[in-house]
Amino acid sequence: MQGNFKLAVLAIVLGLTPGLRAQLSIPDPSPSPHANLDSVTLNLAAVEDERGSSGATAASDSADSSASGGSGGEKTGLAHAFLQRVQVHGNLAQSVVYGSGNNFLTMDTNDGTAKWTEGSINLRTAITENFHAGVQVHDYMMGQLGRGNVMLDWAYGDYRVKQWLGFRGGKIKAPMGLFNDTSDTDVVHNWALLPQGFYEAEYRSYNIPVIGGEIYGNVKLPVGGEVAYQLFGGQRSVASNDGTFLLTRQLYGIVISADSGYTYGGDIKWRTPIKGFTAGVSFDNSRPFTPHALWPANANPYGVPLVLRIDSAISRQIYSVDYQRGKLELAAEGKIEPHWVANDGVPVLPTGSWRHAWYVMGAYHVTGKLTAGSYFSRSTGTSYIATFSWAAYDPSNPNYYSDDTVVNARYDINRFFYVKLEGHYIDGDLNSFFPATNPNGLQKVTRLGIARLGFVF
Amino acid sequence: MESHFMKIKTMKNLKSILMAVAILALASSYALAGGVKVIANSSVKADSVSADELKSVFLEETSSLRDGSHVEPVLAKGGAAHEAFVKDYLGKSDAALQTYYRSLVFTGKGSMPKTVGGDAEIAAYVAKTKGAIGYVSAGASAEGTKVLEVK
Repeated sequence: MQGNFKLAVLAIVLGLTPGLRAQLSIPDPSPSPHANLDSVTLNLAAVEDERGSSGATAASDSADSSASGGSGGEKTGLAHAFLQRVQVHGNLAQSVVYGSGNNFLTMDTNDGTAKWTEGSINLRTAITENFHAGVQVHDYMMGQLGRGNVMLDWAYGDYRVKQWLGFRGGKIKAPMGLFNDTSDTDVVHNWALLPQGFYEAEYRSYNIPVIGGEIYGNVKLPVGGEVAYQLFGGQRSVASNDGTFLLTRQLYGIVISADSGYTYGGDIKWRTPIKGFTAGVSFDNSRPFTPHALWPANANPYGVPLVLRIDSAISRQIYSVDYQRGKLELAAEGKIEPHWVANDGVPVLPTGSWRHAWYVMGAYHVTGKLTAGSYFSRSTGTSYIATFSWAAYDPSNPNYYSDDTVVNARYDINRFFYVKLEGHYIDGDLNSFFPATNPNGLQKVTRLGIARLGFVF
Repeated sequence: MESHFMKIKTMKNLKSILMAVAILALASSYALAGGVKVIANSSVKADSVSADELKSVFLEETSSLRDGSHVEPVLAKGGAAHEAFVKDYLGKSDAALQTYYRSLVFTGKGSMPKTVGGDAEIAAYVAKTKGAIGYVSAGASAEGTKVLEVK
């Protein structure tokens, strides 16, 4: 997505013909204060006696309650049956980041910062044996991003007809690669920061949610193993507090308030007959459209205020392998992401615009509580943020690549609390650096240390 | 002639290896079966379950067995039987399994399964809970439950 906007602007600079409209006023949105999430533990799945005929509850660690007995009649009984199947879970993570080189992800990391807080809370219930519904809200502050805009993370109904066929509808999370749908859920990862060439923290609002539907299932293969598939379609939108609009405004002075379009894609994972070894492929095609991008006269090279209509096409292919055996976890992925961009319907980008990335990672559960790991991630691309110009891909120029070498440790203190320590050595500037927090330009090397305390229930 | 004897010797060695492999396989199968037993509530019609079915149930990929019985898994919080079951039947470590369930929970694709203390608690829960399916140590009492053969 970052590449999309950079390319879009680039395309406009290269290809704009000044058939343009005037009048514009440029809002300067000031961020709202961040609202920290309070962690609330609710446990409604409590009563284990007098359950209905549809089976066991699936609640975790329930504390018994005798909230509704038999006196309330049938209506109360139904409510009771419903409530005892409700689960509520949440997580909260607070990070401290300190580094040198470039400031990272809109944070003042060179001075040290604690402005990275994330949390979510969800509720899910079984309406029937095969039909489930739930909702999750998510909030985060990451430097200038997020900041108190509680987002609906997912909300959908899920009907599983058979093991090989199920349907989800609502706001779903796009299953791309190994981690896209969980990339905003810190507790499920050993890492504090996932490979940014794949799972950009600043563009989650576009990369993760899809308003639409999904078909999914698991199919046994005659050749051995099993295929888990998910096919989705719907609409993607960029949230106003996402990094996309901020970056476009900081780089080029272009003010965008809406960007959305249709998307479709899928994820297929083959659990091979080799125990613990999974291979997968994901793909999507998206067509984000910005109908009204304002580019003030003092920010564009034409000296007149412009209104742009940016139409883009982004397709991604991600190839994944994952091996889990005993205490060892290994994974690797590769991504191909070609772009196409047009202004007012006219393609203006040179063909062959792309972003590529790959990584290898490994983690070892040293004890039941301690996990140590490392990964190396490389991203390359034809677009860059350092200057307002287009040039051919130059693999030796740090603006066109980003190599991230990471070491990490996670310690689970108990069922509720965990800590992470992570170090990054980033060579190159392709990913995750914003101009406003790097006013003197970008340096080639960035070092980061991240300490995080997490809570989950 | 020498070559002929060599062939016979090689064949004998091969047979010995195959025999050893077979004995090891039997031994490991016995150990697997001997480590834990899978139990279900009496409402579950099936008398046996395949290893694949068992895995699918505990990974929340299905909520019914082939005979149509609705089932919901219950797990122990820890212990030798739990470790053995998770490793042998689900192919994961306990930490990886917790991560898996949390991934389901925070993407809305599943719920956190019921967890209880150990053999006695699992047996008691399974005995009283319609559709419940769990596991206990092979030597543990599982009164009031149905022991499922794992094929």
